Amino acid sequence: METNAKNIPVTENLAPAAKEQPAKKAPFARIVRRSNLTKGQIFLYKAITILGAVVISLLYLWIVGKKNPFEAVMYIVEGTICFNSNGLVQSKFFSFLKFLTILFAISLALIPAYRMRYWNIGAQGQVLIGGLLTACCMIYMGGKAPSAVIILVSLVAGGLGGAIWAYIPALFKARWNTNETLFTLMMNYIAILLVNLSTNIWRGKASAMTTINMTSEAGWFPKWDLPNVRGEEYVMIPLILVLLLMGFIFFYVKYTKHGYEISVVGSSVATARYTGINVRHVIRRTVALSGLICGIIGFFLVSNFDHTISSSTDQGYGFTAIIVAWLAGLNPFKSLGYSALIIFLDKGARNLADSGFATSLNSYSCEFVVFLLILAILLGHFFSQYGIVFRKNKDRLEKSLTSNLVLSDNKEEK
Amino acid sequence: MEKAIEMIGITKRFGTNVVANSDVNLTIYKGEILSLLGENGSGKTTLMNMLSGLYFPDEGEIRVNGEKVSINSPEDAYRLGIGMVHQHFKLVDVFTASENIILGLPGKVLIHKDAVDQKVKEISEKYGFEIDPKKKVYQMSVSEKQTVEIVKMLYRGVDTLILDEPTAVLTPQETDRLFVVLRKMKEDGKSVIIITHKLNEVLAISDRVAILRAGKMVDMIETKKATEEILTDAMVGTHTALEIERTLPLNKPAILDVQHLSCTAEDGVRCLKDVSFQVKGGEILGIAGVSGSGQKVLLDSITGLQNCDKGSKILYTDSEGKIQDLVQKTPKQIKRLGVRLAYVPEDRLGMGLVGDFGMTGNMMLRSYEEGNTFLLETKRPHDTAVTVKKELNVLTPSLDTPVRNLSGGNVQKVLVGRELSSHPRLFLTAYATRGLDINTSYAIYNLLNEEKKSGVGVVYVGEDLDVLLALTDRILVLCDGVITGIVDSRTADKRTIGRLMAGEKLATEQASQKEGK
Repeated sequence: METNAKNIPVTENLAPAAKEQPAKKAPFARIVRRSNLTKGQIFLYKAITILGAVVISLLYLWIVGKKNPFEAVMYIVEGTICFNSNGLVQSKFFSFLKFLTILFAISLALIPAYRMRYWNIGAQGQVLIGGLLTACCMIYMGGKAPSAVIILVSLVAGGLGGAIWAYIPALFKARWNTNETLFTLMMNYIAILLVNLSTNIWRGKASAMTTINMTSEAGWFPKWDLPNVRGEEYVMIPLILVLLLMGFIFFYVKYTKHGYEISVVGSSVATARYTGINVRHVIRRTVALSGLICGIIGFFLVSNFDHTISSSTDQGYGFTAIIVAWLAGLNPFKSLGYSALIIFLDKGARNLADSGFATSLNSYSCEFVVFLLILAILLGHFFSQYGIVFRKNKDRLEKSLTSNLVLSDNKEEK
Repeated sequence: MEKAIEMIGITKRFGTNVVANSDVNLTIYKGEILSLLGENGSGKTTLMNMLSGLYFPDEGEIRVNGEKVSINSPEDAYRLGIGMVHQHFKLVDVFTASENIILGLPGKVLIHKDAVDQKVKEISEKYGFEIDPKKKVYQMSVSEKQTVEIVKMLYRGVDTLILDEPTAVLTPQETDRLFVVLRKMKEDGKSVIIITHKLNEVLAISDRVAILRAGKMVDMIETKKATEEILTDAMVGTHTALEIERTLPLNKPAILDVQHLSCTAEDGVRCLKDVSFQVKGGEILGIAGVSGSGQKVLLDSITGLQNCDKGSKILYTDSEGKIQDLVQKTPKQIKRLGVRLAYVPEDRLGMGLVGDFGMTGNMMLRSYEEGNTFLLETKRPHDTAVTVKKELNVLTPSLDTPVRNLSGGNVQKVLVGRELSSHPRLFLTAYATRGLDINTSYAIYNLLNEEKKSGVGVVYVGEDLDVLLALTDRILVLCDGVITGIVDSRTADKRTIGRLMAGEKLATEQASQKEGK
């Protein structure tokens, strides 16, 4: 070590030593931004990466499962759409709709804040607080007030709870420019602990929380009775509401003054200030809206779907929704598609594992396929924006990547 | 003396219109301090960037120790013993001084911090720096950061050190200390090049002065024989008449009356000190000064983007003669008062426009609040965009093309067009023609003249003295946040303005008295 220390270059002898070094070669591979792709090409790149991932998935299923991979794919599809002698298996399809609704709703809630480049990763906490307050209302008001009143009060409480949970980090961000990512993450942990604390009190000596108001059904969100559907109708109203929410979010960010302010703040705070936009106010308002929606989702989870609460009530979708929102490029309509894809794969993977198709394909190895495909979608996004230049064919590729770029700069002048 | 570096016939162009350096010949000897003097935009930094490997000359050759070389990167420059300290420091905030110093150097897997610290200390003692190798950069003052940058160069064994505006950020005491260090380096046989526009420092430190004007080397003077006057003359050159149309001011009453305006920046530094002036209707008031003399803060405080100190007054007179004080008001409040003010800021895409939006979206920036509903009104901004596109001849594929994809001139047309579409009474512009080609520049001058003729009070913050003298009616000169003079553009010459810019308070008293009356 000591001899090494003496080898540290000294001012006087560094320069001549360095002079003798040969000129360094270009790096083996470099990443270059490309802006010359047409829509068709972008689609092609995405299709190729996804196709590649599908092939790898099939190989994986074949090697690990040691059985015909296309049979495995059948089980994946049957996770959502499965027919038996009575027709469509309703429980599977409605379960798909239920999780789709939840995931899609949370990703919609994130969109306004993300368009402002406010990285709220605290959706989980905001949903849980909404659910926790709903459970509170159901437990403490059950039997003391009409069910309708309980529902109304818990809806307001849940929404406000989520909004406040989101508002606190926003307040700090607006006032002292604290890092919202860390802050919202920490708020998640607080929410989880609060839920655990409450459920510990409520369950008493039981091993877990039981269904709240099991017999009276007080505070249970009413379900929409459909003639041909048995026991799964509870998903219908939230599903309709979330489709309305999709329309609202799209309209809000695109056609309202608030949405315009959000885009300006997201693009440049300096421009927003110059224009006279109250940046702090816009941050607080937008994040509170995000939190409000998350809180209401929490209300629906407890009052409509689960009728109980635990720290995993949100299914971990508070984080999955971030991926969805990103994959969709913060577009509400695309969010629907990506939510459906992720839930479809997830359901399929579980079905494959449960089916006993191959013993080595347990739930963990099936999840691998899901994330492989998500990764492929992300790679497709990446390659539609960036190219990789290798050392050998550097000149050729670089030319093809940048020539159109220069053209596009001068286009307007011609 | 032995030649260290020779630059022969160096030419550098940006695009087809801008020639940053043209046929420059410069020799730097060993053991000398050379000043590179020139106005903003005269090509000093570009020339030095070609030595430090950031740019590559289009024509000409560079010789180091008599040998022809090709400098393609800062690494190449280090290998040849050339290092540059840029105006904006390039340090990693969360690293210590030593870590920053060895950043980018080849080495083994492990770093021997103690040995590095030791070496840094040796260099510091040799030249008289005060530096703590273990201190993190974010805890350092500006002067300490500069020291780290200089030591970083010396650590790399640099023989020729280039400093870009090293004293711009220093206090007088710190400047003196820097000069002591530079003299020691000179004694050690190293060459130092200082880029500056401060005359007194040039005279104090350098052996020779090279003067650049409009990208050309106009003079090389031995400092012993130089005086401030000789240097100013060489720097600003003789008056070149520009054919900008100029009508007589309308001599209307003042629209803006700024009294005793002082501002303090966030770091507690006073950036404007007791500034008083008026802007009359139907005149163009020019504001001159070396960059960072308070021009931006001045405009920002009028538009409500900058807090002013107590006792400041910014009085706006509206068309009915009602006077309103704009101090401590937000841009929104100012707008609601009915103040018809337009502002073209220096940073066009970062502050004036949203790069991702198209023309229509950018027109909305000023008017999106109009209309009583919750909804965004798009019809009027769209019409404005159509009008601006037509009248200012903006070249864009469509009104929805993101403006960041437009050329610089068209971006500025969008910004100026939007600001003028609000029919202001007071029109503030900052470096409105910076980086624009000659045709677009003249288009902007014409627009400003049109506004002047219609009785608008126009403020033109500029850097080209020829333009200021040809376009404006009066010129206010700022130096370090203080008004050093307000002169009549029709009678003033460049030399006077140059001296005022350097901080000489010539006719300040008279000028401000005139202003009062």
